Amino acid sequence: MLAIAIAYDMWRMPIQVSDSLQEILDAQASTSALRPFVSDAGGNYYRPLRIAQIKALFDLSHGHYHLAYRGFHAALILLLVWLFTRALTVETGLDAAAAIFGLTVLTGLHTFLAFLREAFPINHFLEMAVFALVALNLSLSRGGWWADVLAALTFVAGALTLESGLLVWVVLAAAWIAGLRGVSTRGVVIVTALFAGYFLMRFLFLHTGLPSLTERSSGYLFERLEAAELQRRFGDARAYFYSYNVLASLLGVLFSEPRDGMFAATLAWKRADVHPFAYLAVGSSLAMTALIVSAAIATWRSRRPLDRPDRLAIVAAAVIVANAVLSFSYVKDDIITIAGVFYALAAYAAMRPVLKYATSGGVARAVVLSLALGVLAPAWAMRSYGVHHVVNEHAFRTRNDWAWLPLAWQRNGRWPTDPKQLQLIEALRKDALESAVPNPNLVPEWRGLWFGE
Amino acid sequence: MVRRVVPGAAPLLVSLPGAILAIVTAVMMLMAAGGSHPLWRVEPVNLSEAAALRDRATIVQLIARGEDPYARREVRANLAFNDRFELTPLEAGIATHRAEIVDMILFSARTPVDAAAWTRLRCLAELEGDKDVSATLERYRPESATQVCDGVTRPWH
Repeated sequence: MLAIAIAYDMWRMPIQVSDSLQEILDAQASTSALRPFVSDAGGNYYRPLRIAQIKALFDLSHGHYHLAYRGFHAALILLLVWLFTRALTVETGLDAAAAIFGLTVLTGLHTFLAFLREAFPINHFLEMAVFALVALNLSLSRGGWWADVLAALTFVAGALTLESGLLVWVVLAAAWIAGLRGVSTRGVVIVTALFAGYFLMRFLFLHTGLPSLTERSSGYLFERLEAAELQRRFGDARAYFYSYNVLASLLGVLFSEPRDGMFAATLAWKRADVHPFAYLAVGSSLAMTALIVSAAIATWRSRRPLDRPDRLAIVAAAVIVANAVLSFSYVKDDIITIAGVFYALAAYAAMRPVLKYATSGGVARAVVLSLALGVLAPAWAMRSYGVHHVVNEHAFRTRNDWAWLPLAWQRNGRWPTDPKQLQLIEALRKDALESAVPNPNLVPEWRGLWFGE
Repeated sequence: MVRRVVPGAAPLLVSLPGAILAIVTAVMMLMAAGGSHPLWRVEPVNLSEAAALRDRATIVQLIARGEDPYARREVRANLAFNDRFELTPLEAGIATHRAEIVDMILFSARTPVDAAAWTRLRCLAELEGDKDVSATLERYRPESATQVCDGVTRPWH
């Protein structure tokens, strides 16, 4: 039900203008979905399947662009939640309680919003998270040659779409090490060979570089630094900046602070201007991470045989760290979205032993833990509910962007003269302007204060 | 009794918020099927209200449907201001200090603003001390416009 409601939100959101319209215009101009595979070499990225997908959806849409792009987005949301739920073990009432809680963590964590706020016009980070969960589910399966083949295909699709797709390998390798052998040793070796092949192809054959410091602005401590400033400060100390990015990404997933590399809540606290949603986000994440760490230590000390959720937690830890490392070049909540999904898996895995502990002791223990969990669970449910508010806000902005587009593009000389392009822009703009989107300036103020933007 | 009930509280308290959330979203989806999703319900606004509420898309839509961007309309109390006012969309844009709204209206209007109306708007922007709105209005200055502000008062406050 949570997934359907969020997918519905996605369906109501107009296709966005920034980072999206130009891609759709390029897809219109492109002759074939296969073209990016031969033309996308060079530069700092190699993502041929990303452009190919945009083109393929464009061709399949036959003019129904909203149906194609937003329909695909909504379908990916449903798939993500289904794959997440499928990976959980639910055999007892305690498992069910932990699973329900895990779903609120999945949808309530700030990184989940990155799946919803933007699409380019496909949200490739969401796609990568789906691929990572496909890999996890294959590792959890009974296995067979088909699981190995699917694992290899998933890795190839992921790696050729975004660099985050490399995390498919991390999932498969960590799961194998943790004893989840649905993908066989042979399968993991094949994917490892593909992983090595990706680096050889990218750096030796295609000479695709790495993102430079001057490509985009980035959050650093309490400020946002523009590209030129990044170059000035860290041009000779890249390792330091990259280390900061890795650490900031890791902390962001575990504590919901910093966000996009910036310690925004801490800064607000220093200025005595903290909104309730910052307390809600940081407080619930702090408590959740403390609970996960406590459960991990308790499991380690107990020396009991690992069960499936314990193994899931091991995979989750590996993916969270690997995703943070992959964010070395710049920090953005979008890039650590896969870590966010696996954090929710860790939350589920941690909640099971905590509930067992709470129900197997005396009254005092049960009361104390019930009180603590009775605060934590509503906090995450509230964060999860806030997703709808944030999507509303972004839908309003996106619709307004379409209204503003002719003025902005005509003034800066970008407005096309090609009749086919104009027809496409008009069709997308008409679709956006006619969509019924509520004005966030008319909703009660408390929603913005508690749910953020 | 207490010894039996209390241990069961933790799983209940952990799952209850999520379960309530699921029920609330189920109700929302049922309402959506009936065309009235509570979070996607759109409050109808007129052109002046859309301007006061910074709703660029609705401004463009209403002007495209033939609404007069220079006519006065009621801006209901507690939407953008505490009191009810009769304002043109451009006055609403100036009153809320939104240069981009003024720009959007003048860009989308089918007929350019006449000299008398422009002078009045420019004076209102001056009274508000809003340099951004003044600069935006300058883009659309009619040739015969003057800037004599005698007797111009704000229709809000």
